[in-house]
Amino acid sequence: VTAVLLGPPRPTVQALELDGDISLYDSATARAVVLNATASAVWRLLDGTRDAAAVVAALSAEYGVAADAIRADVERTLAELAATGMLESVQPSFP
Amino acid sequence: VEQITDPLRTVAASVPVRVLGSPFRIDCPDHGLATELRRLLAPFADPAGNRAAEVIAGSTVDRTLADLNIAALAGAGCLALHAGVVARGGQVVAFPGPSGIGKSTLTVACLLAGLDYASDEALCLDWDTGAVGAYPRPLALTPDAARLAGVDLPDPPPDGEVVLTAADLGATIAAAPLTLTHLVLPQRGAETALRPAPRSAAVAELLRRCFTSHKRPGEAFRLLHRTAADTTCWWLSLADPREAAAALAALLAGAD
Repeated sequence: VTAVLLGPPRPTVQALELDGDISLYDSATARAVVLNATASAVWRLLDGTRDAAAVVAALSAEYGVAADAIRADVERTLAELAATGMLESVQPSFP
Repeated sequence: VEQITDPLRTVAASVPVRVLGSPFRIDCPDHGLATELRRLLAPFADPAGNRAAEVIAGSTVDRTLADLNIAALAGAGCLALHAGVVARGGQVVAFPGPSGIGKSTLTVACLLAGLDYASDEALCLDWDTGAVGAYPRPLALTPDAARLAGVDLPDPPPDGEVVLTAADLGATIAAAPLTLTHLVLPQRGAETALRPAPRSAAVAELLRRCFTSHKRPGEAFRLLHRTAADTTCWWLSLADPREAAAALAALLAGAD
């Protein structure tokens, strides 16, 4: 199975943080998105070095919750973040 | 196909005004309309006029004010977004929201509660400094909304909308310098109450309500983010506009 690495953000995306919540603006599309705390935590991990499983594992470790308990929510958030068009094209990795 | 319906339209009087930095000339078909517009638009009077003024064709008071508002916002040289704005002692509360949420009704209730008037339509932010500019257009309410806000109306009430100035309500227009200190996000509710809101919610609401962000979208994003960062943000459960006005007045208590 080929893992899919997520991110990094497109170079045209500016991220600003306020009280832990991230707002994003893409100058290429003039689109803005405001993330809640959970989505912001996911976004910070999308640097192009992790696939979905690694993102779940990182959040599980950071917040001390079981991976199975957060997998569905994280995957839904990843899908929503991908749909913003603010991430670079996903890249296949070759483990 | 454009149909010319009144090629011989006559102009009895013109009303020159300057709104949000742009000059306009309202051509009125009768002196009664011109007199009423001069009264309602006194804060925007531009006695010298301007040759380059955009012309607004006067019709009814309601329609003319609506046309002027659309043209003024289109030409605004600031970041304007849909919000009610009131003040005390130079400190400003803005409540952004969609049409129909009750911004004008709440604004009128705030003026009757003793706050100063900045706008029932637009929060206007200087692109460079973020300073608030007043846009004290006349307030137009249905008779029911006016009564809900606490306005005394004759019985039976007038037909159509009630159009009021700040002076009609015993209020004054907020004078510069004006600093935004509170952002209030109204939602309809069964009871009137304020509770703290995350500032990211305010950023999202401000972005949704922009009139002029398309002119400088990146700057708008950064300015609205900075604006939210510098304010205290609240959810307002809005049931009774007079109770809500008292809650907003309490936020600004001590600002004199």
